[in-house]
Amino acid sequence: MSVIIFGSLGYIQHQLEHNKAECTVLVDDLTGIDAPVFTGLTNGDFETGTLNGWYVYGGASISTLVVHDGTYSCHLPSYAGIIQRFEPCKQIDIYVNIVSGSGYLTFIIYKPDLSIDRLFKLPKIKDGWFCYRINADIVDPYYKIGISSFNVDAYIDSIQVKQEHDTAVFDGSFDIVSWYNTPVQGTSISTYMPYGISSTPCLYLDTGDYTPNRIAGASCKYDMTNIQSLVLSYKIPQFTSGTLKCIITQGDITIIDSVIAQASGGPVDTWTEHVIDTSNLLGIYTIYVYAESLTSGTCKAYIDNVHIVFKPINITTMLYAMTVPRVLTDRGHILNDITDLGVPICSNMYTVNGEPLLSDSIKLTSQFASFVSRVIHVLTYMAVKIRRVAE
Amino acid sequence: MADIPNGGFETGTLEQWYPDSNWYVTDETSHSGTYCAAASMSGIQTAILYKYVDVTGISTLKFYLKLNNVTILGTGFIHVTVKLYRTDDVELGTIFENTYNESNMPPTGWIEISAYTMLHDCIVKLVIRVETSVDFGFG
Repeated sequence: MSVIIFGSLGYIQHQLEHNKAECTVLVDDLTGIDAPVFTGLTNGDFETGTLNGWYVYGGASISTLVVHDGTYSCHLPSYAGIIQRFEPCKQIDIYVNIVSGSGYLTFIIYKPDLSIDRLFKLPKIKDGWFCYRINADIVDPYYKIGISSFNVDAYIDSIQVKQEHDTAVFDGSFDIVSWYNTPVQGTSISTYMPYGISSTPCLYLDTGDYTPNRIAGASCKYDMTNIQSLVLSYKIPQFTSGTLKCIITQGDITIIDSVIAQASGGPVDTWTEHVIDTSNLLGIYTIYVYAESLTSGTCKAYIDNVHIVFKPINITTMLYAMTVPRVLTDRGHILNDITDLGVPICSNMYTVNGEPLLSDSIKLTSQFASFVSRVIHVLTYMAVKIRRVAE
Repeated sequence: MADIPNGGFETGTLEQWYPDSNWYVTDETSHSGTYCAAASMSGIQTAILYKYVDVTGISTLKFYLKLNNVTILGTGFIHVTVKLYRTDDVELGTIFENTYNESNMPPTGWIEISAYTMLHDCIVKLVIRVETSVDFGFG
């Protein structure tokens, strides 16, 4: 045995002679076990009493404590998740109960190569169970759905994939107030600072001065079929702590949860445009726009110039848009049926691919739409007549 | 059971695998057949062996690993990790990880290591990494 104390090399030599590890590593017989024939999403309701069919990580486990339907659900403590391959489908419904935590659940749709196709984050927005719907529109059979938790304690249950969009309309047995159990504060129409040079009023959302956990909001229902995006402009002159949000729901199902601005950004003194991708929506939805104050903060916001952008135009889109009375471009009426206010959010026009489809000078009212419809009807009738004469 | 090209090293070579300079094929011992891959390690050393595997239609990847001629003294340790990556080296997960030392000696027989892969209908990179070293903080 040699012991050399001085200098680092000596120290290492000493270490290697008294502390050592050596071995011969052998590796053999790498094989693969054939996967069973894929028959679609399995055990989505967890009623097998196991997590069979799911790839599980973190502390995800089966549970009987908090259940949406049947006997079992899946418990996702923080930093846990499950993944499974699913069949091509139009939409995925997942019942969610976020019990506690300040984080969020993520819903990830993975492409076949496991890169991320879409990722949705869902914080705790209400107590109890509700359905989170993903309009998936997946045609490839090798996509996967992953659900994971970050700083929340949550349960999920009753996962279903659907081959068609569920366009059933829920007329809103609850409203935004019940989500927070706090009264709606000042929501009003203001002429104080409308968007642009317009003299029309804008929506004013005021949570009150330094009052925590208050919201001010408005909602409307709208047919989002063929709509590429929802665009609104906002301005938040007083913003100390809180969030300005837009949520799009169908019944009690949150489809889109879009944070427009958060207090960490401070006041927003100029009108700013916010675009929400709604290209996956089909049918009638409820749109909520609300300001929320946190920890004795204040959020006072103005909303204006709310408008929609159609998907790339084709004749079907055009005719649909022109013949459905919902498309009223009269200033201030593009989003009709405001439920909280009884008055409309104002707007100027709607656009196609960023270009105005109809300017303010062309008032496409329901009467005009009806006129166009009649013209098309007459033209069709004449075409049939001409064809018969020719025959 | 799905065949994986040269998964058992029965070609007598390391073809279809990506070894570093520590690895060789031996017929002195094997889990089955004639050959297996081996790496002799001593002191501060790392051996890495990886392979791209098309796991389309495969629910589970399985292989066997054995540590022979093991000597672990003092603060010496052997660290074994097996991970799956995408082909662009994004990590998909750790299949196996263990640190062996004087108080946690490796088993004398073959260790079966398996990974659930039904989700991964694509090509994945299986990486086997073995490190022998000494903890210089003690001793």
